Amino acid sequence: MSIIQVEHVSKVYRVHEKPEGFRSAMKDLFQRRYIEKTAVDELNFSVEQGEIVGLLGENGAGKTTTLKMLTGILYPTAGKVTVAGYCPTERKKDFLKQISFVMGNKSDVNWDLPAVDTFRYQQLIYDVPEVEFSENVSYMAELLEVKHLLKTQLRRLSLGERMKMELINCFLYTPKVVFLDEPTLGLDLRSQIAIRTFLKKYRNDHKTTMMITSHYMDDIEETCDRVILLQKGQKTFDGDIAELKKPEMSFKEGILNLMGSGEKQK
Amino acid sequence: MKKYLYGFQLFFLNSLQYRFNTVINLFFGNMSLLVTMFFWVLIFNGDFGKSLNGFTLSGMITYFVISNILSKFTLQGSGFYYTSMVKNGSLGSVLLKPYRLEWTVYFQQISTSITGLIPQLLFVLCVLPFISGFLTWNVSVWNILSMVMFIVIASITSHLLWSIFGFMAFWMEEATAVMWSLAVLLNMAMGMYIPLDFFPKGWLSVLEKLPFSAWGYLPSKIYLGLLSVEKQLQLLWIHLSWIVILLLLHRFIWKAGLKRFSSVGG
Ligand SMILES: Nc1ncnc2c1ncn2[C@@H]1O[C@H](COP(=O)(O)OP(=O)(O)OP(=O)(O)O)[C@@H](O)[C@H]1O
Ligand SMILES: [Mg+2]
Repeated sequence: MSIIQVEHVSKVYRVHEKPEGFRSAMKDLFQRRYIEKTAVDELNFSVEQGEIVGLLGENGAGKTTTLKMLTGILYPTAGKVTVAGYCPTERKKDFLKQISFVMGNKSDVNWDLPAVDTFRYQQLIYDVPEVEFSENVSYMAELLEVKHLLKTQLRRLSLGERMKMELINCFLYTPKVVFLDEPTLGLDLRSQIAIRTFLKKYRNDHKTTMMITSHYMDDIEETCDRVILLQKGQKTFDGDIAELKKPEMSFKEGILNLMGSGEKQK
Repeated sequence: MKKYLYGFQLFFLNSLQYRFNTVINLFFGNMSLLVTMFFWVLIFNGDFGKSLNGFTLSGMITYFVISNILSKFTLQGSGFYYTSMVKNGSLGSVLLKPYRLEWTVYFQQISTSITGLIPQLLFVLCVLPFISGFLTWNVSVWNILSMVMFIVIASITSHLLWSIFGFMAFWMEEATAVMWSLAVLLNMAMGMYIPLDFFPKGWLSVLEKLPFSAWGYLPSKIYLGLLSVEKQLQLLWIHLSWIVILLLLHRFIWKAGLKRFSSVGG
C-alpha cells in the first residue's frame, strides 16, 4: 500500500466577504455574506515509501492547502486522505510522531531560546533517545554547516540560518514522512544548495518519504523523483521527473509548457 | 510528564526575564489594591469592632489581599492563547505535536502565573509593615490544606473555561472583545470587587456553587476561617464535579472548532 493516499479530496474555504462602504457594512452586521472558495478540487494521487515528490503550481494553486490536509491541520471538505496508514485529522500520537511539516518561519518556536534548547524540548516531546538525539543533531548541524550557531538565540539568526535550524528541528525524531512547504524561500544560493544536498542525503540514509513545494525549479529538478502539478486546485500533471528532462527543452521550459497547456485544456 | 515540566521551565525562565524588565509593574499593577483597602477603611469608618455581613475591617482587608494574590491562579491566559493562535494560524504547528495541547497550555499558563505572583508577593512584603496590623493571621493547618485544594481546582476550572472562551475564535474573529467583557463579569462572580456575601439574599447560594467562586472568594473565606469544614467539604464535591463537566465541554467544543479551523497563512 502507498504511504500517502489521496482520494477525491477537495477543500472549500468559506470566507466572510467584507463589504465596502458604511451602509453595506451595517447591513453586513445582520446578514453576513459568505463566499465559497474551492482551493483544492477532486485531487487524487498516491506516493510510495521513499519517494520525493514535488508539488508545483502558481501562487494560490492549493499547494499549502494540500499539505495542511495531509498533515491533519485541515479537515478536507470531501474525500479521503491516508498517510502512513492513518487518517491525519484523527491526530493519533503514533501518527504525529511519524510525520513532520517544515513550514519555514511560520512555526511556533520561542525566539528567545537558542537552538539547542528548542531541540531539547523537541526531544522530550517526541521521546527521542539521548544517543539518537545527539547523533542526529551533530550529523545534521554538520551537513547544514550551523554547528557554531547552536547556542545563539533564534531571533539573532539570519533567515537562512533559522531555516536550517527549523530543518534540524523537524528531522530530529527521524520522521517517516516529511512535508516541506517552500523550504528554500528567500535563501541565498549556497544555503539552497546546502538544503538540497541535505534532503537528498537524508533520503538516501533514511528512506524518508517527502513532499516538497517550491517556486525554485532547481529545488524540484534536483531533489524530486516525481512532479505533481496543481492548477486552480486541480491536478493537471503527474509524472516522473525524467519525462520532463528532455534534450530539446530545459526543465523550467518543460514546466512552463505544462502550465500553459493545462490552462488551454480548461 | 517530563515534557510538560520542561515546557513549564522554559516558559518560566522566559517570562521571568520579562517581568524583571518591568519592575515598575510592581507598584502600578498593585495600586488598585491599595485604593480598595483605603475605601474599606472609609466604609468601616476605621472602626475595628464593627462587622458587615460577617466581615470585620481587618477581615475585609485580608480578604482583598488574599483574593488578589490567589486570583493569579485564574488562568485567563489560556483563552487568549487560543484566540491568538487561531487568528494568526500558528495553531497549525502545535496541532502537529504529539502532546496533549491542553496540558501544555496549562503548564505554560501556570508558569506565567507564578512569575506574575512574584511581583505581587514582593509588593505585599513591601507594604506589610504598614498593613500587618489590619491583617488576620490565625489560620489552621486544615484550612491551609483546603485552600490549596480549592486553588488547584480553580487553576484547572479556570483553564478549561477560559480555553472554551478562547475556542470562540473558531467561529468569530472578534472573540477577544467578548472575552474582555466576560472577564469583568467573572471578576464579579469570583468576588474580586466585593465578597459574594454582599449580594442580595439567595445569590450567594447559587454563586458559591458556580466554578468562579473557587477562583478567589472561597479560598479567601477559608483563610479567614469564615467557612465551616462541613460547608467546605460540600462545596469541594461540587467544584470537583465542575472539572468533569468542563472537561467534557472542552473536548466537545474543541473538536467542533477544529473542523472549522481554516489555518490562515502559508
Ligand atoms: N485560511 C484560508 N481562508 C480562506 N481562503 C484561503 C485560506 N488559505 C488559502 N486560501 C485560498 O485558497 C487558495 C489556495 O491557497 P494555498 O495557500 O493552498 O496556495 P499555494 O498553492 O500554497 O500558494 P503559494 O504558492 O502562494 O504559497 C488561494 O486562492 C487562497 O486565497
Ligand atoms: Mg503556499
